[in-house]
Amino acid sequence: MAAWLVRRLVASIAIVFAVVTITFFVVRLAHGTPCGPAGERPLPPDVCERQRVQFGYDQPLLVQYGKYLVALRHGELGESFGLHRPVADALADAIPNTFTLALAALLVDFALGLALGIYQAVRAGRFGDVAVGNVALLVNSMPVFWLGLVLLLVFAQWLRWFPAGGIHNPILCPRLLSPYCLLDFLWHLVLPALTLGLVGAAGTARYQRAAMLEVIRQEYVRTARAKGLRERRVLLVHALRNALLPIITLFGLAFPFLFTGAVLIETVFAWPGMGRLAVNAIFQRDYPVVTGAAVLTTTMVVLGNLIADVLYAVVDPRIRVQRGGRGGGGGSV
Amino acid sequence: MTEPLLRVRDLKTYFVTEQGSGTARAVDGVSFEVQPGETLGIVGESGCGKTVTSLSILRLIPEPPGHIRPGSVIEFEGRNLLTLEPRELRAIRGNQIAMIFQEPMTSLNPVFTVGDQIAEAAIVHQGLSRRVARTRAIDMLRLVGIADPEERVDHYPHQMSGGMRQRVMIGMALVCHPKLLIADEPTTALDVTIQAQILELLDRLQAELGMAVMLITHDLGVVAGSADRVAVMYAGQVVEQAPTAALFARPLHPYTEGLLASVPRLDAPPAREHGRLHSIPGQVPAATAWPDGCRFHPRCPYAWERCRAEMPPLLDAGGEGEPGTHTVRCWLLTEPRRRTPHP
Ligand SMILES: Nc1ncnc2c1ncn2[C@@H]1O[C@H](COP(=O)(O)OP(=O)(O)OP(=O)(O)O)[C@@H](O)[C@H]1O
Ligand SMILES: [Mg+2]
Repeated sequence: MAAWLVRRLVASIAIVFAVVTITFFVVRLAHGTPCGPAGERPLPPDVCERQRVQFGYDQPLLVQYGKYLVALRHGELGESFGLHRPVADALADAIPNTFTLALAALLVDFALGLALGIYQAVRAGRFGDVAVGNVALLVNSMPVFWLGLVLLLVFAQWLRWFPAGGIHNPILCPRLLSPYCLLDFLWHLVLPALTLGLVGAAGTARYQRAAMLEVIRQEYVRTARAKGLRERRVLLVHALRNALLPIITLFGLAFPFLFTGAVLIETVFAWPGMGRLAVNAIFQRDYPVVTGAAVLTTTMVVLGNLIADVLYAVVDPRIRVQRGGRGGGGGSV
Repeated sequence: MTEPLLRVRDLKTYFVTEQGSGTARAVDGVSFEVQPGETLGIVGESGCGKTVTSLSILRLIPEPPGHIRPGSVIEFEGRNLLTLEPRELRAIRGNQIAMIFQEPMTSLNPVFTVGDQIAEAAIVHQGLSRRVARTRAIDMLRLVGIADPEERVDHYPHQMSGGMRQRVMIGMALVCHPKLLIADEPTTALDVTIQAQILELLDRLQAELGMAVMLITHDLGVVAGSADRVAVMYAGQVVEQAPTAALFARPLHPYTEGLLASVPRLDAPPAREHGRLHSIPGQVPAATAWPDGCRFHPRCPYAWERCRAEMPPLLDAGGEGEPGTHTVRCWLLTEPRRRTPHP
């Protein structure tokens, strides 16, 4: 297990490295200088030149790349053109917000997705299954930002149950300190997390239904019934544990979805996260921020997949044993 | 005769197939009894409804597509299992009646240790604590002849061979000391040498625990060694039922004759593939389209008009014992002179 984990880690680092390299050069090829493409930002030529030197853009590309890598080792991502602060600082402010949003969405995604999928599988072919399936299909085929706008319209504009955007009340809660402000934060979190989570849940439910249907037909499920177990235990212990195996892969895939989804949703809900930071940076041609956000997002996604792989090994004893020794944990009925 | 432990009367289990091929009458009017402590062998070719019969007893038929027809009776110690509440049924499953299946590879849950899987029934039915149940699981592993039970208890099914898994299945089934064990082709998926070991194990445990066994197989050789009585099934029905010795000495149904002729003997090398009986021409028809009249008539060397038109009832064949000891579903009993093969 340890050797396998090391191998997986090395592979993950290699992927992150590759993405850093590609992003760096692609952004540079897109004329990523403080002045932007000629004519778009009318700066006096001497100011422009001064900035080019200041940001190190006058050096050969490979030297810049080398410097970027060295700085990256210390967690530095360069200086933002427009924000007048280091990219790392700007990202550090944004990450927790995106993370909270993604985590809340993940919770909605899997809690709802698993529950609905199991329900559908148990009622396969009957009214409940078909109804849930159709609604899920509908939700799944909506663009995330569009669903966000609809929810905004209904719950913020018309019903006024939730705020129309932002992360907290700027007057009463400039910082998260009091319990009131925590509630306020959660209240702001509901709509964006629900939007993202619902779309995810619609997909997760489909997978879970299929996985569960596959497992319910297995003979060991019949064995469990023949033992005299309650139906609930048969389904939620004997069947579900097996049906979760394919879903864990989905868990790894959910990360990219949540991050890309967050980009759109954060803009819709004025959520000050990485997505909004990156979108604004793209519009303002603030390339160091764009590069930094891309590097960070990749790292998160790779990390998500790594976690999914480790989870897989924990849940499935066959993999665990294959990968050397019956390493810790393990389940019991 | 004592009160039977299990009485199945006119059991009909049908499957409504979606593809428009109609209703599969997989089990179509089966009756038999199991006495306490005895072994009843149920024999028949693939597809004749043995598994469906045994699953029906514990009401494990997937619904839909399957259903047990109204009018069927399955009495266990005098209670009709078909009318029990789910809670009452659960108290019988795995506790009073246990079951082992054909495929030890797929019948165990791959993600739980064998110890946990054995202990589970004891926890559910007897309220044992996890610790005590674990000790019980180790005892069961020892009982079914697995070496190093203390270590094996924490193993997962994929770490064991097929024969060992079937032993685990047996241990799992017997952990609550059931009164009836239904063994559905427990050795079909195993090597010949392992088959003999498992059958021997079942015999020994039956003697030790005093339970009744319903031994389902398509191999008359298996039945000869372990069963007290045999029911021969064909096309969803019981076609002949008799004490084992009587059946082997005086097979009356042409299908039984054919089965016996295909049992490998020491003096003649076996001329049959696994599970396929070469001495009976033709194949079992599909459960959606049983032939009219006697269901065996298209394959029967003696068949005449009556066989094509009218389904024979179970007729008493006389012989030793009280009436009904040896019964046969064949018109030949009414016209024994016809028992001369056609040219
Ligand atoms: N789930 C099902 N859906 C539809 N038909 C079924 C189903 N299960 C069984 N059948 C029908 O019941 C018939 C009898 O099947 P069964 O499994 O009882 O045979 P068997 O005697 O146990 O054969 P084998 O020796 O192969 O195990 C089959 O031919 C099939 O047509
Ligand atoms: Mg079968």
